[in-house]
Amino acid sequence: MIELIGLHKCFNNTVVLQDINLFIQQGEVFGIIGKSGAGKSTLLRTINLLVRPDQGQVVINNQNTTHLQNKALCEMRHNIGMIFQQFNLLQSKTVFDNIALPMRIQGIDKATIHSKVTALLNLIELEDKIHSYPASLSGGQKQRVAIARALSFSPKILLCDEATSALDPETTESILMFLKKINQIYNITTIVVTHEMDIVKKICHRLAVMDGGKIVEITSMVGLWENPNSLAKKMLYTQLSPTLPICLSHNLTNVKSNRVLLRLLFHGSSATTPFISTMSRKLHLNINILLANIDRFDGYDITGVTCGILVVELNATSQLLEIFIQHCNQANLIVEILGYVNDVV
Amino acid sequence: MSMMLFKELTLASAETLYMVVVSTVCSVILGLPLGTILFCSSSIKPMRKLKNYISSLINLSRSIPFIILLVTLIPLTRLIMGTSLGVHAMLVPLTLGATPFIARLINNVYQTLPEGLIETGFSLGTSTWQMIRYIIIPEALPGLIHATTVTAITLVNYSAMAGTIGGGGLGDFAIRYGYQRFDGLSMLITVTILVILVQLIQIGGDKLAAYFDKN
Repeated sequence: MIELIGLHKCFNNTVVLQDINLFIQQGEVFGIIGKSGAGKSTLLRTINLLVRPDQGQVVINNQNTTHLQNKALCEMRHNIGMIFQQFNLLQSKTVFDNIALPMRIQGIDKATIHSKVTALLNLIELEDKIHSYPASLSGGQKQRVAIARALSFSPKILLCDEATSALDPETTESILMFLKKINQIYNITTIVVTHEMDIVKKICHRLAVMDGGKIVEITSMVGLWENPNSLAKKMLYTQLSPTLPICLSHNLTNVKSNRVLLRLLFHGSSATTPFISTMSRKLHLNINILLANIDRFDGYDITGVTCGILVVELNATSQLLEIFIQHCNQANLIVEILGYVNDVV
Repeated sequence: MSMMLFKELTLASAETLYMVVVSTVCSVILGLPLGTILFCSSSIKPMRKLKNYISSLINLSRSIPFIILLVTLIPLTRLIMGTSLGVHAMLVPLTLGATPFIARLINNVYQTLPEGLIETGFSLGTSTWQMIRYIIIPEALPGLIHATTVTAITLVNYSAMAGTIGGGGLGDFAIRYGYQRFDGLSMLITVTILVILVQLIQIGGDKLAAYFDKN
């Protein structure tokens, strides 16, 4: 569907994209995640050639679009919708006119425009705002209108550039669910650029992690669990567990003692077994749970993966600790020793 | 004040109004494309040579004091209008004086548009012309009205200068009666009329811009 082959891009001698190779399938929700300045927005813009790569090819539906100009370029863009962080609606036009704009540009007749806009307003559930101006809409409503505008020419691809970064968590959730819905209804290939793992995990089937203009990992949401070194998995867990409170962390040392703090990461079937209580009974261990969190991710299919994190304190000798860690490895848990407590916590 | 003086004052006001209205319209007709091309050549479809050329042309004509421009343009005025005297003739230097001014203002208005707007236009697959027609001008309309208002007020000022080289209007009236005849009252009345005229233009412009401003 979308193929990016060996893309390079420099802005004023600064390398922004470096050797980008990516294949995105028809109907997929694909996430591009990375810190700000990682080049993810630039990468997104190469797809509709808002940014033209210095080297490499952009291939959409087996057509090399990299060097399209003028009319052919405009026509190619008519098949790609785009939404932005700042919504970018026309302040001078009503909701109706904003949604109708792309069709007017294409010279579609009035009756078709009217019926299409009405249908889209119905989809975004803003029929009552048809004659309102963007200034009177909330952020979430503005983004809905922007999505409707992007959908108005029935594109095959939807590009989302930090589309929810300016919205509050609740509105973000509703916009994400909406994006998911239109992905399912129209089978529209959706590419989501974000710096929040939370967004990727909610709607994406696959994701690419970017850093310093390069793609450092491409993985499916389900597949990342198989990879022990997955950066995306690390990000998921980071997002899942807040850092330890300072009152705990500043008591931790490397000097071994009988009180050890462990971080356990679990996913899949191991997340659903009562591991801690089993261990406690089996090894006669006192396990103190300091912090715990659990979450679930949906993949292509409905099965999904449950994953979670535990920070526990053990009262154990070093032999007992070793046995405990062995059991953890057998049970498919990832164990990390955070440190030892030599003082009263 | 005699009846004759009153008549002459009315005529002068009408002349000033005529010069201001017609030259404002003409300078918008010429300046809007000029300012738009200047903006497009720098931000939509970069064409550095064209941009530099237009920009220098605007700077050049704006650096000539209007009173000098008036005199310099006399041959051109004669060529176009057949004469260099009277209110009709004055339309030529007034329009040519105000065109670069409004073109620069219009370019500035465009530059204050939100950055993402042009990118959005591109993402919708607009050609340069469609971008101007459907996105830039509608979004800039309140700003364009403000720019026109400022230009119209500048033209009130210019039209008074035009009076000194035989252009007619309130400027001419004030010079002849107020200055050359030491008639303080006439001068005061002229100034009052000009103040009211400028106020009306400003208020009208603001109202119109507010009507189109949906922000």
